[in-house]
Amino acid sequence: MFENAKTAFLFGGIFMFVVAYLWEGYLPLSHLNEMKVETMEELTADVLPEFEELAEVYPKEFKEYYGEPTSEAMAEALILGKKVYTQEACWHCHSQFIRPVSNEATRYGPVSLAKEYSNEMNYPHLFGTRRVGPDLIRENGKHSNDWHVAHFYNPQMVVPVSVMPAYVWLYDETVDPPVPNKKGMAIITYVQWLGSWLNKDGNKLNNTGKAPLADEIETETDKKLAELQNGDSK
Amino acid sequence: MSTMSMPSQAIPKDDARPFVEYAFVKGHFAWGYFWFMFAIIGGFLYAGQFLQAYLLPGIEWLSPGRVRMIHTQGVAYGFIANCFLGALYWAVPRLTGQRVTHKYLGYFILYAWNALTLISVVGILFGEAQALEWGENPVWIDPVVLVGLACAAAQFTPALWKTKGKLHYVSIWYFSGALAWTGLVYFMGNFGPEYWAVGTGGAALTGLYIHDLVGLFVTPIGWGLMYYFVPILINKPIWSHKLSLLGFWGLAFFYPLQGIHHFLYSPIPMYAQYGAVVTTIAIEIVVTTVVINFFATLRKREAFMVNSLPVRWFYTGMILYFITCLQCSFQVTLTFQKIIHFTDWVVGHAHLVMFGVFGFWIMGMIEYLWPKVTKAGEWYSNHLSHWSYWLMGIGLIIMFSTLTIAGLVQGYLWRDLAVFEASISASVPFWWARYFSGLMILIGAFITAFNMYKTAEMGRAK
Amino acid sequence: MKNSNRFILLMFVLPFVMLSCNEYTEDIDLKMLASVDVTEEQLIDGREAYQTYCIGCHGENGDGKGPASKFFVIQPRDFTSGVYKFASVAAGEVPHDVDIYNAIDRGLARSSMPSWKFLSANTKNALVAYLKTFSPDTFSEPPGARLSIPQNPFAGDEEAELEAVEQGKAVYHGFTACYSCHPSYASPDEINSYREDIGQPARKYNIDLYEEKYSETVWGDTIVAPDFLKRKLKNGNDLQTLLMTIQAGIGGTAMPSWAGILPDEDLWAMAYFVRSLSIQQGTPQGKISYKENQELKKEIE
Repeated sequence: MFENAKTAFLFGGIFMFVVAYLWEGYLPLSHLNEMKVETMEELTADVLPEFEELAEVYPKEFKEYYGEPTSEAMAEALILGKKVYTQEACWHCHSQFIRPVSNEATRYGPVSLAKEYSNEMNYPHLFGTRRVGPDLIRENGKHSNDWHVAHFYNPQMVVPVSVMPAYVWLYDETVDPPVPNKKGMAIITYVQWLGSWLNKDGNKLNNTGKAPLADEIETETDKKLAELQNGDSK
Repeated sequence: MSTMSMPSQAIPKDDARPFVEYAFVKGHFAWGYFWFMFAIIGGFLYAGQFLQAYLLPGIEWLSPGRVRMIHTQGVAYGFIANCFLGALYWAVPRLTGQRVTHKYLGYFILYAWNALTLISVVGILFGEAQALEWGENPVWIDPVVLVGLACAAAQFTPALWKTKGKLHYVSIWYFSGALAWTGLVYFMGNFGPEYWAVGTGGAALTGLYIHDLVGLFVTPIGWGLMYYFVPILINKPIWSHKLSLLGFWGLAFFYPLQGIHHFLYSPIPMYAQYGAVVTTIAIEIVVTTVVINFFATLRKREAFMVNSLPVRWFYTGMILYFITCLQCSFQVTLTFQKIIHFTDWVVGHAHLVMFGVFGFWIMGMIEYLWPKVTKAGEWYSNHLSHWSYWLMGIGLIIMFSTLTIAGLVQGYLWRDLAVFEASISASVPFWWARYFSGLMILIGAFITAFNMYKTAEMGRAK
Repeated sequence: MKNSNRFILLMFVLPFVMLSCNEYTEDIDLKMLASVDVTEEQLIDGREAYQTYCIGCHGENGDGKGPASKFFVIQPRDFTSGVYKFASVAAGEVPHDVDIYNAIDRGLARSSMPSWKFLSANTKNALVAYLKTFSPDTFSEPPGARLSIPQNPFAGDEEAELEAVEQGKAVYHGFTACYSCHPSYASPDEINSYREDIGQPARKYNIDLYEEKYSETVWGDTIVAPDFLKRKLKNGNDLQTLLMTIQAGIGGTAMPSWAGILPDEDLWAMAYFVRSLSIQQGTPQGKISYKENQELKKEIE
């Protein structure tokens, strides 16, 4: 019976796949789906200070691309920023989750929790599997807009040993110094947005970590998911 | 030990159509090899970026990040899928005594599949990529790819199912299982994270997809073809039928469960991560039985390793497969993950399995079948074939070992909280070694390409 | 097979040959060495680190004109001047090593200077030593007297801390008249009442009372005196840092040193006041406060 093409197809192929999906796909999903998926409106209710700063530093260009630094403009920039992040495959060299091991919480900031990814910006997620460059999920507050402007234009200019490519097409090069174009401002907004939900008090120094998000866990769902993540579910 | 020799099916005589369509084998191999060259040139270009020496800088659509995606997509969908289809056109009719479903379907698959790959590659280069590992093809092409996979299943499954008798040869199970898995896996992996599984849940599905693509598409077809080609080439039945039974069903039970080991210590619930770790270690036992089976088959035929280049490719791949899986069962543990995740170790592992195992097997199949399907009878130059073997083999070993060591260096530097730039400076010598190992593979690939071209020319002249 | 052996050997050797071409030669200027009290090895380490991490913004000659600096609103520090902004000495005096070390370690918020906390302490010390060689004249003098942090008279008592904010507001708008550079956070009438308390006559105010004013630094660039409701503070907004910045001033800029001019209690009160504004940033309350403050402008018109 087990040495037959049909058995292999129906039982080994389809049935075993469904079993595996139920265990490793459906079951975790059923837990994770208890979380609310934040909409773009909720995500951009507070306009990112870095986004406002772009409007201030490049008033003419910003007005042309995004108008005023409103919530709607920020949502537009975030979605475009994620598209740039995807099409340039940033996620192949920069991960977006902090593990509780290997001193990552000290280096980058608080360990990632499931609820941080439960929003419309994570279809699909951008966890990544390689770190040629550092993790980015706690990037907000680590570098200024200006730093990013120089860095995307030519990474070796600010980090001489960096192996990141230059993204000159994210700039309007007809002026000196080059000014980020619509896509350039979008990717800067997106990168500055990563982790901004932890830095509501934007005044902290670059390196001083805020209290981990775990301290702010409120709902029962959050509590349960944190337990599942730590592996001590009852 | 019980043995089950390969069935020699009678060829039906009342039908004038050719039993095996050589044109498909040849066409898929030629296209597959084209995509192989394309992909590894991309990989080689991309490796230059790590040395701040990218050869085509400042061009938007040739940006290293995009080239990295066509490297993996070219390998998975261009090289491996094409070459496997070609080999299936050769093996399936011989194994089952049945023709494939239809000749025109064959032409359709050949052209449609390569057009799809081309459109995907162009789409990626022009910024339409989807952010899913091994699934970077634009999201709008995914439904078409599913149609293509369904066509491939329709082409081969009827022949497999119509095989006479109730006990079928092991290769047939593998092919049959893989044809069921591939479409399901592709559907789950490309649509799940994009539409119904947000963030962390999407990562769980992505993990399954990344691994299933290797485990449920490439691996079963690869082993199925090994179970077909090795006994024929060394003229000896496979050593143990029972072990092959264990190998297939072990794969079917354990492989689909492993995917989440790509995201250990992530916010995915820990029980799913533990499940992935345990089943990954379990598959190592299964793999060992399969490898033992093949090496027992080789007993008293060891001379083939020296004299027959296809057999040498196959068994080199099997040795590397054993190393890959052994490495895997270690690296999947939470202890190893602390250090090696996110590092070049994983990149080395991926090259070892995709090129060192399946790429080598495909090279062996091309080595065996290309002179036959081009009707040249023999290679233009055996000497060049050997050059290719040694360049690619040594190149791959260098690439794998340097990346593995680089991964450890990076992992420990990160754990020890060295400034991030230190891990880059420390990796540069390894990346140079990787670059040159890539160059060796590239030269080896060009040699075989030249050899294939000349052989095909000889065939046409006959 | 001989040929192939030779080829493979070449493949192995070539990378190492190429790598070994990369070595750099030692040419530390001994004159520079004489002016600061460090070993030659330390300076070589410091220069290597400077060229690995700092050169892009601060430039090869330490003049703050690295290739990236043209993109920056806030210019990188020009080390050749020997003036540093944040130090534990009165503005204008020679800073201590630890002050430069802290700036490297913590970075400067809002500017493009990131934190280098994961550089080893040895490297950071070496960097400090190397930075000092850019202005040998300044650092041949002994550093200025370190200002100590006076005892906090409001510490631990919530009510006293709230009063400290009020007291700080009075000082900010009264004696020190910080609104001549920073924005004011009180209505014109309120300011006049604060002035009255310390015996100063009431006055009229310009329309830019609630705006940040720009001024030129010793390095020739124009900087803004930050609105505490809007801009991050470069050296952070914890109380002790704020106190130190208020009492030491900011080197090279219009921000004077208030140490010895204001009593300790007023210094602390000012720190509390500035902090009470600064922590509102990024919160909904911060937006409201900022808007309300801007609306005070109407009272002048």
